[in-house]
Formats: sequence, structure tokens, C-alpha cells
Amino acid sequence: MVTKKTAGERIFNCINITFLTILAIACLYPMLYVLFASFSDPIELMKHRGLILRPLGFTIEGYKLVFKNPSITTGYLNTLFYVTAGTAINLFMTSLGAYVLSRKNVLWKNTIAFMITITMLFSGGLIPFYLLVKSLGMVNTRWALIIPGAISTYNLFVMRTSFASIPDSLEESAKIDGANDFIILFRIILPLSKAVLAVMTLFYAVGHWNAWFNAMIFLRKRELFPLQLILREILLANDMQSMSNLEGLVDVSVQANADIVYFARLLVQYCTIIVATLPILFLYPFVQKYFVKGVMIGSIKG
Amino acid sequence: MKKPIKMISFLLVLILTIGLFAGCTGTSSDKTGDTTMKVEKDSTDKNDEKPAESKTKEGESTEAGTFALPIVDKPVTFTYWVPFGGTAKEIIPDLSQNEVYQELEKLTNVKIEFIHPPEGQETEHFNLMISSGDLPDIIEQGERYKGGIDKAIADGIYIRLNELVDKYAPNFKKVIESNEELKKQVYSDEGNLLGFGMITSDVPGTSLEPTAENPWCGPFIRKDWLDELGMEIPTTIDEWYTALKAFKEQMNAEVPMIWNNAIGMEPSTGAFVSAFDIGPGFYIKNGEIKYGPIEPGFKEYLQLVNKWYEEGLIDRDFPTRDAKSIDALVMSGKVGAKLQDGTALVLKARAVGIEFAGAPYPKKDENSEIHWRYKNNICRANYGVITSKCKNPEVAVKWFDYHYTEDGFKLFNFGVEGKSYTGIDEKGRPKYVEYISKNNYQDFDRYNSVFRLHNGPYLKSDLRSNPRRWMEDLEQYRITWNNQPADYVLPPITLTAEEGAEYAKIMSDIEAYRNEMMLKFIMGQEPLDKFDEYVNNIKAMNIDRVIEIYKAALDRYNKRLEKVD
Amino acid sequence: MTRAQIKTDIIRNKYIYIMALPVIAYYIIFHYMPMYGAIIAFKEFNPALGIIRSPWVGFKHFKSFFEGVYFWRLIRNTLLISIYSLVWGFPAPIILALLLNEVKNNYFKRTVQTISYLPHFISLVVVCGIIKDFTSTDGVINDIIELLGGERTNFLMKPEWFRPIYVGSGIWQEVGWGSIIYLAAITNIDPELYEAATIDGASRWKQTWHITLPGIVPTIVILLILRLGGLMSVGFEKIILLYNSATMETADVISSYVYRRGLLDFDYSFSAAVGLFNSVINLILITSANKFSRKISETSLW
Repeated sequence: MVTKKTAGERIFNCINITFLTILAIACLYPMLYVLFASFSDPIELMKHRGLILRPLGFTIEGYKLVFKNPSITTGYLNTLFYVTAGTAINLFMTSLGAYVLSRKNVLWKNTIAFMITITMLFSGGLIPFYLLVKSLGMVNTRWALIIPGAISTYNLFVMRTSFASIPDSLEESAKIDGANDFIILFRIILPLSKAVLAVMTLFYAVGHWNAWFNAMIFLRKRELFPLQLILREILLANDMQSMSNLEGLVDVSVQANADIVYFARLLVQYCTIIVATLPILFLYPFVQKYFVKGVMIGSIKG
Repeated sequence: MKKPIKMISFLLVLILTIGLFAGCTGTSSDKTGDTTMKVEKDSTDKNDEKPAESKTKEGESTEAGTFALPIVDKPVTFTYWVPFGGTAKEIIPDLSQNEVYQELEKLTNVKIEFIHPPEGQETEHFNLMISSGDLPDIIEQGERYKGGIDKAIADGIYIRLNELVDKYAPNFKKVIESNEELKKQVYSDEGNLLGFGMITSDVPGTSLEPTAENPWCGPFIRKDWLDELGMEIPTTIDEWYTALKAFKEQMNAEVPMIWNNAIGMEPSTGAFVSAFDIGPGFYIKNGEIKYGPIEPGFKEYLQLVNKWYEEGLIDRDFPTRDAKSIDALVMSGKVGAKLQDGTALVLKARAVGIEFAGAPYPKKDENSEIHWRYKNNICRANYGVITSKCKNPEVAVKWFDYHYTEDGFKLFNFGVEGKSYTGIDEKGRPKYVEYISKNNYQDFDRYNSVFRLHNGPYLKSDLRSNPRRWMEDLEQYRITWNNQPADYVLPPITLTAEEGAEYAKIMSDIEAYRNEMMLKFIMGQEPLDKFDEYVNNIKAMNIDRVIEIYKAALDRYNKRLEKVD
Repeated sequence: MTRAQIKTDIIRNKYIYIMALPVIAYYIIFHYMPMYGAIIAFKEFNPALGIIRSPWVGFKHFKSFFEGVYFWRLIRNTLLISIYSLVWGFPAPIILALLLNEVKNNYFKRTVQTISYLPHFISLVVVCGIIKDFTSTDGVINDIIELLGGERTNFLMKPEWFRPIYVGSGIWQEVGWGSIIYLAAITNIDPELYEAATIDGASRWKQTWHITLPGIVPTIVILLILRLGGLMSVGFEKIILLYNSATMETADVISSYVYRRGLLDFDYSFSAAVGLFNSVINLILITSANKFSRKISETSLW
């Protein structure tokens, strides 16, 4: 079918494409900056100010320094585990919660929603949380990174909104056929929620990928460390001015003495960022294909 | 098809619910005073609780100078909380791989299980450890305890060491008795021994006499440019002015001087501030506590910096300049001088053909003197302490005592003889083996935490063990700084918990105000005749209460030794 | 609610309540049980005594906070930065999602979308480094200004520029990532509505206004309410990285103040008290927003 484009629409298209292109360049540049910097000669990098439009010199020294850390491989493998197991649990729990909160005629629905909202605002702080996890026997185990964060309230509400937007007629006709809530959830709602499930997978996966705080306070065995924790060590080791150096009673001079002419410092920081970020970027294209319109076609008639 | 799915879903939900509740092993009480939980490194995924190691026969008491090894017949294990990090982590994951500690274990028969807090989160980890009752046997940097070591002893977390040291640590005792100033530093206001501290002993030769380490930082200036201009290293404010002007006009320096602190003053060294007979913060003059930023000398300082700022002698963007940017400027040769840096700067810049020299803190004029500069204490904290969880405190005390013997000195500073060094030269310096000394000790810092100890509770001699200190020119800068007077510098006084809280409350506002006004004065947004108004505002914010607090702390400090013997 | 009503509700929705069990259990265990820790705001916390046994001090810490010389400035700055971020930053991802939705070329659309979320992954330290680089007197932005005949200024030293830079850079960093949710929500809209509109001859603009936008309104409302529940919580990291003594007047917020004070003397109880204060204000905001939303629309958090 040929649609006629008005002049207005053509102009709009033009402006839109231009604007989006500029946006894309503005968003791409910092990543390129970091990428180019990570391949640059360390001293040149130190001397440089302003834009970086290509690697200054070329070296993979920085990457070598990052990867020579023996814990990098275990870090990657551990993170892979946390991402898959963690996200699976996240999706399961969040789907349950979102389903419950999205049904009509559930008496306690709003009370539960309110109580859950409270937990977003109020917290007991680090120490009771730590003691709780300890009393559950999860300290220094993999569970500490998966269970305490099983549901993100923000994600829960987003999913609920999406579930609630699915027409009631589907649920009603299923109930007439004798289906109970489990079946409705798993065989009707979820298949129709591919887009939001894809988004939730992405959000949770990225969350696990970037997570280091729980690992830091709960894990002591290096074999369990996720990638981000290892990278953080490398980053801190190479960054004299990080905020961590402000804390502690250790004589500042003692730290200063520890770092003489370690030129690769800045370089290693950039390499660390690339190593930390690149893999997760490859996840998105897989998720993107679920953003296809028309998932609802045929459902109402069926 | 419907029924199995229904069952499976139902079961899943049930299992999960049960699983969540099954983990609950009781209420989440916070500290239970009787738990003796040690975190074993080799336990399985479950959090094991192993009982403490059995008691063993103690070694005998020794006199200073001799040391009975091993300390115990049957091995004793201690858990040891020590911050550890940095580039060393690329080579060894924790200090159990450190050669010094391995050797120490062989000699003493005392095994150490290290607990390292995550880098950057040491305070949180420390507090969590205390709150959860998971105390290790010994701790390094015991001064982290909120409220101070006195409070830790009063709270029953640390044990009091005085009597144990008298009986079982003669070497350590000898060291701290040998120097009056040191003695005041290692005892608390209540007369408790603070712990086994990191005590400097730099005197050349093999004597173990405690000294203060030469300061590592101070002002730096471009030697190559001075040579080209035929000028000497400046020593007074006027000479600095001339030099910076010459840098700007004749050497075309983009930034004649880096003012590497965002507030226009260097708090840790007071460089340039001290020229006006004050210190950058709290200092002591004629027995009285003073606060530099409200003294008349500070107005003169601000006038100076303002003048230099307007003439373009100082980095225009100094409030927003970060370390990376400063590095870039320095390394590309655009900078003539730096307000403060460490001697490492010289080596860094030399790599790109730029020559810096350390300059003395400037005096106001030929006839004045400075009284405040960066100064090291003989004991630089890092206190090793013993907790109430330790079942064999005498063994622990003896173990610490070894750190202060002559053999211990060599071990901790130089490493294992034959492994990291082969003999000592006439200056008392080790002859390091090839893998350490190659390329002019280029990788020294990386191996630093592997074959020897960097920080810790022992007699430390950076001068004798660190190759960078062997460079004559760099060391000369440190000696120059050390020769400048520092009588205004406060000794390491301590505040009580309540005083600390009050201090934080008042000073966080005063410092914010001070910093804002300083910038306004320096950049000319506020005329300097408003200085008195600024001083009155600070007084209204209760600075006198803080001065009072410091005075009380200073009095307690001076009376420390009365409570000891 | 009569007992009979409750009984019928439970019988009718029994599977829903069974499903809710693990979710409720999770929130009780990991959020409500540790919540007692909030009482350290009213105590003088001593790690050796633990939370329960530390002594009570009533409102001492709150008073200490309220009596600060700069108290009102902190509140004002926190709220202003939050509100500016909300007003400018909240619509941005929505607009981006709508604009992307209008792009016909799938390849271009997916590429721009992927690139647009890249900044989200770059660590804050690097982003702020870039910002400082760009806005310094010899930075790129000033280069452009000089070319256009203007005078060079160091923007981060000017109090009036802090908020625009802070908010602007925040938008740039998050707009791509934030648009993902809206893009997913758009795919949930029934394509038949679009077909019908096209047959009726509606222009693309009319379609956007009458179909797309209403289709994602529930998502927008929920996210807006959630956002309002975080108004007092401006994180300290970015502030610390960007501010300096010249811009304290507009840049210093509650969290940066607490951080600075903690450097002088770290006090769990004090930061807990400030946190509690923030939480209470946030609660009031989110409850009001929710109430308002219930009145004028069908969507609300509870």
C-alpha cells in the first residue's frame, strides 16, 4: 500500500533523522574515547588533553596488564553464573508478584502494593542486612548474590503495569474454560508479554553484571568473586585519586610512596572499563528482536 | 495437559517458599557476646564454625636482644585483619603468599590466617566485623575503632597491652622507652599502650634507634628552566615571584604554578601559608592552639595568592583541575612549579625529559622563618592490636615483639636473606637480587608487598630499604625540608568520641564557609577588606569551641606519661 | 470488610495468594526484618554494643542536622536539582522513544537505539572526567564559543552553570537507556488501532497523539510516581566529582554534606538520621502523588 507523504511529514522525517544522528554521535563519542584511549601509549595518554579521535600510538599493554590478573577468568565465569541463575530467579519471582498485583478483585492487592512501596523508601541499613544474611547462612556463598536481590521493586511495578494492560477478555475466557491462575499466568499472560520480559531480562542481567557491592561485603573466597569486584581491585590499584584514598587513617605519604612511576595507571583504567562493559553490550541485540509490534495479533480472537 | 502443569507450578511455589523459610536459623540478633566464629579460608560453601585452636605451651620470657624461637612448640593459629591491596594483588592474592610472613611462620611456629577487607571499604568492613561479633584475633590499624583505642579497650573489644608487653615484649619495650617523644605517641590519653605501631628507624647503620622519617612532599620547581634563566632555587616569597614571572614571560609557561588543591591552600603541607607565621589549620604557638584561617597572617596569604592569580602566575582553573589534568599539563612541559608533590614527580617528569627540583618551603623574607610544614611522626600509627577473642594473647604479644628485634628488622625491611637480598652494604642497605633490581628497580613497587612488608607494625626503615631513597638528589630535597623548623605542628593528639562528633558538626560547616570565601578572595570576587567580616562569621560558627576541644586534647596528650608509670 | 467478604475473596483467589506467598516472604525476610536497624537514627551507635544495646539519644542527630548553618541551602539544592532533573529528564526518554518509533528504516532505528544507551554503561568517573575536560577554559566547548566570538569561561566554576551541566549530562547519559521501557510499552499497543486510524486518514502526528501516547500513559504514570518517591535522594558521587568550593552555593546537596561530614568523623547514627528524614519526605511525596493519580486516572501504585 502506497502512502502519500505530506510535505510536513517529509520535513519532520528530515529533522528527526538529523536529530537522532547527532544524538547517536554524542552518545557514541565517549565510548570511542575510552576505546581509543585503551589502546594508546601510556605516556602519550598522560600528556593528552581534549578530544581523542584515534589511539595515540598503539599498544595492547594495558589489556595485558588487566588480563594478567589470575582472577579474571574465574571472575568472568562467576559473573556468568550470577547473571544466568540470578536473572532466572528474578524473572520467576517478579512474574509471580506482578501477576498477583495486576489481577482485579483481589482484596489485599493494594495493601500489599503499599507495603512493598515502603521497602523502597525505608531501610535498616547495612549492618542489620549483613547480620540477616549471616544468620541465613549465606555469607561467603553464591546465594548471597542471588537471593537477597531476588526482586527489584521498580521492575515489579513496571511488569505489573504491563500485565494489567492485557485485556481482561482473555483472562475471562480462559477462566470459563476452567483454567486456574497458574495456567493463566504461564500460558496466557507470559507469552503475550515478550517485550516486557525481554526488558526485564535485560535490566536484571545488567544489574547482575554490574553488581559488586553485595559480593564485596559477603564474599571472602576469591573463587566466588564476580568480574566487577576483580576489576574494581585493578582500578583502585591504579587510581591514586579515587575516593577510596580519602578514607582510612593510613598515612597519605605511605600510599604516595607506593606508587612511583607507574605510567600505565591511566591506561589500565580505560582498559578496565572496556573489559567490564563490552560483553554486556552484546546482550542487547538479542533482546531487541522482541520489540516487535503485533505480538497481540490473533490473541483476542482465539 | 492441564493437571501436570498445575502440579508443577504449585510445587515450585511451595519449594521456593519452604526454601526461603528453611534458611532462617533463628532471629537475627546482632552481637551475641559469646560467639567465637572464625572465618576459615578453606571451608566449604556453608559457613562453618570451627572451635578455636587448642592452647599450647608458651615460650619463655626473654630479654631484649635475644629471642627464643620458635615461640610455641605446637602451632598456634591467629586470624589477622589487615588491609591489603594495590598492584600487589596481581602477583599475590593475599598476604599468606608474602615471603616475609611465610618465613615468619617457619621461625615462630605461629600460623596466620589473613582477613583482608575489600579495598576502598575498609572502614565499613571493619565496623561490620565489630558489629557482627566476628572478631579476629589480631588487627592491624587498630586506630580505626570509632572513639579510639581507649574506647575499644573500655568496650571490651581490644585487650589492654601494658602488662603483657612488660612481661613478654622486651624488644618492643626497649624501643619505646628509648625516646621520650615516641613514648608519648604510643600511649593513649588514658595511659593505655595504643598498640604495636609502625616506628621509623632510619639511622644509617644497624642501630635500631627510632627517628622520624624525612618528609616525602613539598614544593617543586623546574630546575631546567631556572638553569636556563640563570636563577637559583627560590627561598623567599619574593624570589618565587620573580621566578614565576620569568617563567611566564620568558619561558612562555602556560601554567607557571600548579596550585594543586581546589581550595587554594595545601592543608597537609601548608606550603606558602607557613611563610606568614601560621599553619593551614590548627596549630600550636607558644603553647596556645590557633586556627590559621582566622589569623591576620592568613589575610596576607590571601592577598599574595590573589595578586598572583590576577597576574596569571597561578593556574586559572585550579578549583576544577583534577589529577589527570594536572598530570597532562606537567607531562607536556607546560608547568613551571607545583605547590606540592612527592619526590616521585622528579622521576616521572624525567622520563619525558623534564627536570624538577624540590624547593624549600618559602619564607616571607630573609629574616623570617617558617614553623609549619609536613612532618612525620616517629610512630606512624598502623597499630597492631589484640582482641578479646584471642585465646593466646601472650603468644600474640611475643609474635609482635619479634617485629622489633634486629633479625625482625632485617626480615621485614629487606625480605628473606638469600631470597631477596644477598648481604648488606656499608650504609646498611640490602643488595637486592636481580629480579628486584633490574631496570633500575623499575618494578620495585609491584614486588614491594611480595618479598618484604610495606606497612605494618614493625621497625620500618624506608631509607635503608627503598631504592628510591638511595638517589642522592631526591633524598637531598627531603633533607632540606626536614631541616626547616616545624615547631607549630601539633603532636598526634586524639579526641574522644563526643569531641569527635562535635568537631565534625562544627567544622564541616566552617570548612565549607572557609573554602567558599577563600576562593572568592583569591579570585577577586570579594575584596579583602571583607576579611574581618569573614573572621567574625567563623567565630560566630563556634570555632572557639573547637579550639577549646583541641586544647583539652593537647593537655591530655602532654599528661599521658603521668598515667603510665 | 466483613468476614464473609474476606472468606469469599480467599476462596476465589486462592491460587493468587499462594503465588503471592514467596513474594511476600521475600519482602518480609529481606526488607522488613532488617528494618529495625533504622532505629540507630535515634541512638548513639556503638559497633561493639550492636544496634539493640546502643544507648538512646532521641532526636539529637536530627537536631544536629537541622541546626547546620547550611541546612536550608542543602534542602533547596537537593530539591531543585531533583525537580530540574524531573522536568527536563523525565520527558526526554519518552520523546526519544516516540521519535524512534517514527523511523521507518529498521536498520537505522536499531542502530541509533543501541548507540543511545551506551553512555549508561560508562562509569561516572569517566563521564565526569569528560565533562570537566569539555567545560574547562581550554576545553572544546570554549573553543567553539571563542570561534563564535565569545569569551572563554570555566563553566564548572560558575554556580549558575552547575545545575544545567549536572542535569544536562544526566539526560545525555540516561536518555537512551530510559527509552527502552517506553519502546517496549509501545509494542504492546494493538496494531489494529493504527490500521483503523490510517484507514480513517489520520496523520502520523494524530496517530501518535491519540494512540501511541495514551497507550503508554500507564507506564508513564507509574514511572513518574516512582520517580517522585526518590526526589530527596540525590546521590553524592556525581556531585562530589563535579562540584568545588566555587559552586557550593548551588551544588552542595544533603548527601554530599553527609559525606563530607563523615570524612571528619564517620557516624552511622547521623547518616541514618538524615536518611530517615529523607525517607519520610519521600514517603509524603509518593503518597500524595499516588492519591492524586488515583483521582484523575485509573493508574496508581496502590
